[in-house]
Amino acid sequence: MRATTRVAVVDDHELVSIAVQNLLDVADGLVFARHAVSVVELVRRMRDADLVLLDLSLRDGTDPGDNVRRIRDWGADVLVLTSGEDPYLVRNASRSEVLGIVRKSTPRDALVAALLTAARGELVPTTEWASALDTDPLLAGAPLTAREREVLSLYASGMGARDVAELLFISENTVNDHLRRIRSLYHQLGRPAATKVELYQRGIEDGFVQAPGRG
Amino acid sequence: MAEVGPGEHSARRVLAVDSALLIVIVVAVYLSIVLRGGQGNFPLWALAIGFVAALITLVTGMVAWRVSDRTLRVLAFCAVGAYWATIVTFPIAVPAEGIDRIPWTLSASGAAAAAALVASGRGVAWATVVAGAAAGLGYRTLFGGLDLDGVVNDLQALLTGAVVCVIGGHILSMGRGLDVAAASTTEAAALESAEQGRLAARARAAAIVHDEVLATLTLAASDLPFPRERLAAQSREAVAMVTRLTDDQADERASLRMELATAARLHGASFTVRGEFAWTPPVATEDALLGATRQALRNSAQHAPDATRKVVLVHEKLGIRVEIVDDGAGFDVGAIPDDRLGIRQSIVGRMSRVDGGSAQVDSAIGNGTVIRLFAASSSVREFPTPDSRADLRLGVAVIAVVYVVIQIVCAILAAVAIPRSWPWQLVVLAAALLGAELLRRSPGRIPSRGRTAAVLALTFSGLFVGSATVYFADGVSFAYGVMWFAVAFAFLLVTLALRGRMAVAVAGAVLLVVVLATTGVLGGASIAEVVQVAFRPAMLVGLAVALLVFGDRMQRRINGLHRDALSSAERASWTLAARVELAGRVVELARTAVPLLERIGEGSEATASQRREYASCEGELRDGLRAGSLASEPLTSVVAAARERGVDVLLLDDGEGAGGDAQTGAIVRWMAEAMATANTRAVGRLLPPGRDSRATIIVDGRHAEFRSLSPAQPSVMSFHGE
Repeated sequence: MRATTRVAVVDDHELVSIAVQNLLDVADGLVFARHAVSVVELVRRMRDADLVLLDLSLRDGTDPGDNVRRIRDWGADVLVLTSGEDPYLVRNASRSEVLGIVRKSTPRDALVAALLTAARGELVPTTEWASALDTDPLLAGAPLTAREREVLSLYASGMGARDVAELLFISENTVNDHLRRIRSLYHQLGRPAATKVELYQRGIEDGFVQAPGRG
Repeated sequence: MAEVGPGEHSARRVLAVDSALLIVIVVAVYLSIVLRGGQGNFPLWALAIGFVAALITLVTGMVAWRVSDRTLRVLAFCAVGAYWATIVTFPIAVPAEGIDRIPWTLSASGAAAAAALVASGRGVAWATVVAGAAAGLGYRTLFGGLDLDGVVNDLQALLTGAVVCVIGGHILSMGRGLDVAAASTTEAAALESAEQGRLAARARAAAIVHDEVLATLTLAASDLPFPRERLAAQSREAVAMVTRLTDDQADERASLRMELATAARLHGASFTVRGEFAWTPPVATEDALLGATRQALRNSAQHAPDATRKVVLVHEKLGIRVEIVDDGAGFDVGAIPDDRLGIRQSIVGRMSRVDGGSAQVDSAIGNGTVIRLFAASSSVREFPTPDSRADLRLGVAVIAVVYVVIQIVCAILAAVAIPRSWPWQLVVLAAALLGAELLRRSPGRIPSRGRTAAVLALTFSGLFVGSATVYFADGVSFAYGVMWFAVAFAFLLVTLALRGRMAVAVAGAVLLVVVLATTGVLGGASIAEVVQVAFRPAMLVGLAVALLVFGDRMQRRINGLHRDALSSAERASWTLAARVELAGRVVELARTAVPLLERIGEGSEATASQRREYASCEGELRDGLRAGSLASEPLTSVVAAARERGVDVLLLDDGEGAGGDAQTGAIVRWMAEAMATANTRAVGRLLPPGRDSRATIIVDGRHAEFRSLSPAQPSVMSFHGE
């Protein structure tokens, strides 16, 4: 694990980055790297951040999914910040490789906790994220187990991992495993598959489809 | 002349081709007669006119799909003109030595009638048919040929022409209907795409502004040390953006909802909307509703200055209702002097002057005042189409009358021509008329199998009796006149085709030709004679079937276009509704957020309570995106109060509109109760349909579900508390 995590902010408003700087001051192991008003501006330079806080709806009209891909290619993790939570935009971003989606108006302690989790490279599951996934018709057809759907639904109702674990009589780690699998499965939905063969191969890789000739 | 539409153009083309086909058959039959040397010695110029008429008709049909509509009509006009010339010049053309009988082709007006439809329309077509029959009968009287064959020929030609006029005219008006339908479809689609374009632009702008306002409020609500001047500048920019957006909106005609909201605000009244947006009233109706509402609010403010006022806009299935309610002192409605402009003219009178408008004033001393304005929506949007079906019915009725009269005349003539045959002629006539009557009385458009079978049985037994009479009669040879019933029965088949039994009609026509040919051959008639007799019945059925097939195709296209137009119009109205919704949200933004943003814009330090106010406003605006049907009283007030206390509240409507209003109401009350005690965090969620529960709520870590599917008593399950 990194000793310090450098955090960059991509947002139309510089004030947001000032607010983030204030939060980082009280969080151990996090340092502020830079503010950029667009992803293009951010990735123009050599990588100088490990974690990027990305605004969901930038005024330049860029697509959240594209923005996330560019930052991932640049080499940093992405945590998305939103003002409102239009479920379509949230889903769009969730299908790309983000650690989580956090509302800007989240209380300060929760926000700091989310930043620390993201700095460890771990998933930051929020109620808004779970709710957007739980109602996505695309996910209805995905190979989720009944337990996984249950976890997602409880999470979407506003519970934390500990509450869910307690309610279902399972360990908190198991809840987090479920959430991770849901997230990775959701990423599959966002990744375009060029051919049926590719889709099939990906299914085998991801363990959704039984590989032939082993039984 | 107005630009002709493609539908009308193709109808004319089809009729032109039809006319050419008819002329081909006529010429073929005519040649068969000439080859037998049956015609008199007509001068060359007279033959030339007839030849030119046929040639032009033929050429018109051949080039119909390659020339412009105008050229087609000019050609058809020439063809009709040449036919008329043949009729008119005939007396001069008759050779001095006289003729045996006038040519059979003189009254064969079917082709000319079709050409006349192309050139001009139904009027000229009918005139041509009548002129043909009149000329045939008239010249027969003058120059010879007034015998059974001749008269039957002319009368049946009249009938054929009538069929061409009716079905052809129907095709023409359907072509025009097709054009009207296509035009309205295009118009509706254009409207729809314009609406969608506007909506997309507006939605994008509104989203950016919304985002800007939320971000600013969130920053202002936090107690982080910001450079105050920077926050103030961002806030002023947000205000400017909202103002620009509302100004842009003012460029367009503001929606009724926004105008009512503004009027209510100006008079210190609350404003609520109920029901689903379903109908945009005409401009005059909107103006009346708005004007009457303003007047009612003015009256209320004047007579009950301290009363609480509210304006309610209700979207109903049948129209729009606006209620202006106050809890003031009230007044005696019966005691209003007639000359009081306020109520009598500006409210009741104004509403009654618009289509579907009405107003009702309820008040009593001490009981407040309710003024109800109502505007009834007109029925579903209608497309102006020529009522071609009614025309067709009238035409068919005309044909039926002509049919009955002509067949009776023919039967009488035949009974006179063939001695002692009258009982048989009567049987044949009865079969034909009975068949026609059976078809006329068919309850559905398509006759039942039994009825169809009965008509066919009548047709062929009549045909058999008639043919046998001719065959066994002494000294009577197989000819057009004595076989008059061939056309009579062919008409029954035409009617079957017209009423949807097309395959049966075609098969019947084939069988009919076979019977006629057999009778002819057995009677020792030549091929040419058989062709002459069988030609008209076969042609009649073929013509009717061909035109009907084409007409059906056109009708299907018209229906398809109408469906497209309707769904386009529907989509446009949904888009419009979404835009109204969006515009409403912008108004809401201007109403709730702008005063706060203006205060932030002044740059002074915020107090703790002001910060909570900002947080509460931010939450409320966020609810506009996600709270859906949860954003209603009493939950809204409870949530606002909780946010002012510093509670982080999240409302999520994932219910996709499932569940009735009653149940949602129960859930909202249930949530409000649970949220009243919240201290730090509360999440209320309507679940997607198909889950075990309808809703969940988490308040400070305590979790509860709303399980009931009946609106009665909710069974609330609490899992764990603190």
